Amino acid sequence: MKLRNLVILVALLVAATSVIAAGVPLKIGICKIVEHPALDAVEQGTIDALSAAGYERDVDVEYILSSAQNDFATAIAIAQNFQAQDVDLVVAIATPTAQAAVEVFRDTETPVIYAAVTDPVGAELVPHATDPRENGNVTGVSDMIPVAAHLLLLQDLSPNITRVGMVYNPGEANSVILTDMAIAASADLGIEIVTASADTTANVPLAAQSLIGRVDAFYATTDNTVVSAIDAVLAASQEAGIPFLMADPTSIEHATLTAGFDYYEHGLTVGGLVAEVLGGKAPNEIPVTYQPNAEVQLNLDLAGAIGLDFPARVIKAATAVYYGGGLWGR
Amino acid sequence: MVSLLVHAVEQGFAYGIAALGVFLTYRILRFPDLTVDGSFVTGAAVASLLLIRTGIDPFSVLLIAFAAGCGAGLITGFLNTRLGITNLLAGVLTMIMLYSINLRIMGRPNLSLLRATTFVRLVSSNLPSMKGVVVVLLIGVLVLLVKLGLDAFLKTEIGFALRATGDCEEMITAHGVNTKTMKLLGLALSNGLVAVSGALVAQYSGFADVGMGIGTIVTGLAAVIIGGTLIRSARIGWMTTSVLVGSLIYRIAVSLALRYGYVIGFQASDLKLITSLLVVIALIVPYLRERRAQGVLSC
Amino acid sequence: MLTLQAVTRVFQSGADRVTAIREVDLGMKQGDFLTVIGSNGAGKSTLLNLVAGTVRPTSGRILLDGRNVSAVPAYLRARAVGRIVQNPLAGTAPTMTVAENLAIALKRKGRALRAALPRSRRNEFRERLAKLGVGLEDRMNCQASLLSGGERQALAVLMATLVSPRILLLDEHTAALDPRNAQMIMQLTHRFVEEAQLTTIMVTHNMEQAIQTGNRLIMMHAGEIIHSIGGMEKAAASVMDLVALFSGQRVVDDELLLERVAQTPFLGC
Repeated sequence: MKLRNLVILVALLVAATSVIAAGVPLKIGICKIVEHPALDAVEQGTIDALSAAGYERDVDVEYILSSAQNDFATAIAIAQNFQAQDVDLVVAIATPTAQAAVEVFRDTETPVIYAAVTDPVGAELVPHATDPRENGNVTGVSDMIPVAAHLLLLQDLSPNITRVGMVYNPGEANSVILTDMAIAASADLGIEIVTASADTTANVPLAAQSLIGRVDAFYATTDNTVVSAIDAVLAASQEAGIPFLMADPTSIEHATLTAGFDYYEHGLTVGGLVAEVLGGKAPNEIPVTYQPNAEVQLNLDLAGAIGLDFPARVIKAATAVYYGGGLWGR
Repeated sequence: MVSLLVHAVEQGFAYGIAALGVFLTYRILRFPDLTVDGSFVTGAAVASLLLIRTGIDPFSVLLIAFAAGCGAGLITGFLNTRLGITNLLAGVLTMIMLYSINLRIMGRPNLSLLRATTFVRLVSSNLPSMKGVVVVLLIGVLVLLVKLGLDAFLKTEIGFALRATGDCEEMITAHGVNTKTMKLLGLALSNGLVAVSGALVAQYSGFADVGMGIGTIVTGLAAVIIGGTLIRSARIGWMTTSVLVGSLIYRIAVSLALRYGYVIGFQASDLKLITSLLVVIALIVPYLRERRAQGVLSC
Repeated sequence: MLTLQAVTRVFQSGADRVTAIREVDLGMKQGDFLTVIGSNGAGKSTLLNLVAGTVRPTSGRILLDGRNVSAVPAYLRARAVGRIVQNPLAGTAPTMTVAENLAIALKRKGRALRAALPRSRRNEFRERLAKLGVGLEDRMNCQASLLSGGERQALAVLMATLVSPRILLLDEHTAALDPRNAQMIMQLTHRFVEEAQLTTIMVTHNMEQAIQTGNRLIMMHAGEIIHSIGGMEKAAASVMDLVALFSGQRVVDDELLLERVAQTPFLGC
């Protein structure tokens, strides 16, 4: 287990000294916008972190787990369902589910914890990122990605990388935000971002291929549509002989290199936050928490296939490499 | 349980307006119109944008949303009557066009109304203690007005001409009615209603999302068909009532399934399957009845 | 008041080309009752469609009350043209009630957001339906689809003549009915035509009917009018004369022969 994970768990155990006495189990409603490996990992991480904090599943806390199946009306209905079942706390994973929960539980005392929301202020879940006093009953963890840092990482690979291609779904709020951020950051870095849009997974291969010959590297963020079709982007990058940076470490087998955080760890952070709130801290005392983003992983197999040698600086920053079919940590 | 039912009734009413729109094209005009998946969002998009950017009150934005929906319906009507594109295809084409248009209107895929002055916000700031009741009443009154307005319209001379266009085009043409104009009118009115529903639902939910319209045609049809199976009448007043009843029943069934379905292993992911099965069952009943009846309604 | 000048109508579908109406000239005065007979494919229905406007002439002109209406769409011509078709199902709106159907027939133009069926109108309709003599006045709130063929056609007759059209077109409107209903409809038709002195064109396969009805008769074949009789000549004509005319024109049609056989008394074998 990584050192950092250990630190988090120890911190939770310390916080667990204020566990509520087992009487009536707590009810926590966890809803996500769609079933998806990353979001599922957040859910699991949250539950695991709470267990570690002393809230054992089905003993101290009862979970109501729901997925909105990408359906707007279902997201609302789930939030209303939670209210009807008098949950003690809501964990809402992803922006639309979070918005629905905030609206339904507005003017109530039930805490709403959002997770995997890239821009909580933009989504108006909370009014300010750093000043929590007007949060009301809402707080949470953002999965904002340091896009500029990722672009710098690409630049580190080679001075020849001046054009970066991004496939994204203009219909996904988080993705649009991140892509816009990349474009905004690119000017200062002397990089040009070339985008190709794909509104469904079926269109991802076409979009990726349209970028071949027009870019020096591929970059993808945590866009649900692209993640579902990541191999198509990888194939395009391999065909063009250029590197592909994916902002999700769990995808290391599907990219030349990855940077970012593990969504399971994101879930652990969320769980830790929930434990704090259950322990008595009010949501309007907690500003937006940003998930730490320190991992860099390199896929030597795929890099070798396109004849890419990682420069020393990049290798030093890496936290793990994928080689010969297996992952090797530091 | 009560709160569950109250919420289901709220949703049944709010989406019921869209169901009335689907009723108008599917039942009255006999024009299966898929535009609604797009125009629902158009209404939500326009209303959200106005609520965020301007000081227009939450009820006037409904009227503007109506106008936007009419525009969407006219596009489909134009494709069908002037360019001769078949009704299903025309609707699909417009729906796809609207996806991009809606994104443009909203500027981003998701617009939050959590800080905007929606009608829900008005109620909770003026009558905080009675918020739940007042919201339901407001939506209910609005739906009633829409229904009565539609009933009255369908009993006018133009309304009769519209009904006859769906019933027997040959006959109404022989009585001096331009059926192309009637189709344009029907499509505009229908999508206007759907857009109002979208605007209402966005305010009620606290946000508008570019994907919130997906499935509008199916839930609309579910309401029309379930209601039409329970209340069989050729009278306009009863027909529109049946649509609203169908919408309520559908939403209550969904709420109950979400709440208690775990007993039989039901998951939220099964919802779309259940909805379609409900519609199939509701369709089989009249089909069997028609088989037993003499002949088939034809024109 | 109706004039067709060298009207031709060609139907083209891919490589197939059919000349349904060929250089037809026809004139009708106000009050004329013209019957049209002919073999299948002779162009009788196309002729009616041209007058009604559901089909445009490929060349030639159609004048109604002196106005050139060749390019006027059917729904606008409906202001002046009334029509009863063969299929009882196509003359009424099936899911709408008898009263509602009549309300539609009350207007040929200028529909607005007024109530279509106020109480006063219902009473008026009841009286007019009673005059049909088929019991429809008691079934005003019945959907048209629930009526029998004869009842529906009677309703269609009333609807077509409710607002007197300038010209009434009858497209074999009794052909789909049993003899008793056919006779009832013909009687109703006669009554309405005479009451309002309607200019009428009636297409029929029944030569007996063609002879006995109206003051003029034309015979069509292959898109042309091959014979036209009127006035005294028509009054004196018999079915045999017509058949002879057909034969004389070297037009022998199975259908016509079968009709002749049916109308010839059986003399034993």
